[in-house]
Amino acid sequence: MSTITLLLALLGIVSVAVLFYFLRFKASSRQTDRDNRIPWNKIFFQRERYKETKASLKKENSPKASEQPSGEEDADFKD
Amino acid sequence: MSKHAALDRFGKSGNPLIRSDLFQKVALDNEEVTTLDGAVNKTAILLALTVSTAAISWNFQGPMMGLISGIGVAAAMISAIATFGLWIFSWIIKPTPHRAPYTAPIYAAGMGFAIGLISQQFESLFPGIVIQAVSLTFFVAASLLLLYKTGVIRPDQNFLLIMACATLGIFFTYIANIFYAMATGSSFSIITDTGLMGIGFSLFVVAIAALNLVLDFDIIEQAAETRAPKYMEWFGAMALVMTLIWLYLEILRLLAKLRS
Repeated sequence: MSTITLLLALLGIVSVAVLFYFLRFKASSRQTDRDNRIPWNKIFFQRERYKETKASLKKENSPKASEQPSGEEDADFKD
Repeated sequence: MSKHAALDRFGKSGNPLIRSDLFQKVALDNEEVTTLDGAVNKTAILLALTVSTAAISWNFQGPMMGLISGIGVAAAMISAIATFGLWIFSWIIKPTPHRAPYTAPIYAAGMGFAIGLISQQFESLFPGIVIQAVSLTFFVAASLLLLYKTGVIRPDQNFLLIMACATLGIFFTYIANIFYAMATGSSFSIITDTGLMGIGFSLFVVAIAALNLVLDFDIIEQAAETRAPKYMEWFGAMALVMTLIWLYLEILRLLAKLRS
């Protein structure tokens, strides 16, 4: 094994340790506290979000339909 | 009220489906959530799977192993498309992250067989190249992780767009190369050339693959921050392993060109 391969192997071992150690830490506030982050939620949960939102809107709208004013009230209003 | 109310409103949809609070996908109270530790453990599991199957195909060469590697790559591709969709064409096949706990191990194992076979061939031509490529892959990944965590590289939507365009461009170049090779029996010279053009192209592809790691780190970070469901750990780990495998293969190719 040549010297450069040996050195690179050592570098690789250190890099694996660094990768797995620092991946466990939260990113700095400089990274997390900003407005222009990539909206991964929008990208990956598009379909589920649509289904859930549609179901919740349906649920919200259904009791409102039963609370509609009756025909008599409409007549009073006209008077 | 903020004097920037109009600015705040700008870009927000009037569609109630989009305006709803459910826009943010978070885990339910009784559901387990994504953590950074969990994502790291899943990444380690997937990498161990890849290395294990790579070791099998490295040690047991032959036509049977070629067939197994072919099946492995096909299974890996199907798993990747089933999970990520055709990301940029997401209106055709949408991403389905909840499949990741099942598809990620298939992807890792399948690609491992192919990597073992490819690595063995490169190693027989250029002794020591595999150790160098593996080491450089993890060195690049660790460096970019530090740059990401410290906020030196801050990916935004423009960065995502540039990366998506560049990655797609490389993908189409490789696809066109396959068809060209089938028709003429030779590859694009820019891909196989060992001259300055070929090395330049390989350097460009390595740079794009490396910068894709930043997006993977961001997926994992945001999933943990927003308390995404547990399966996002597998999804983030799969994305990271996919990019690491791509980066490794490109570095292997670059080193081979440099040694030729």
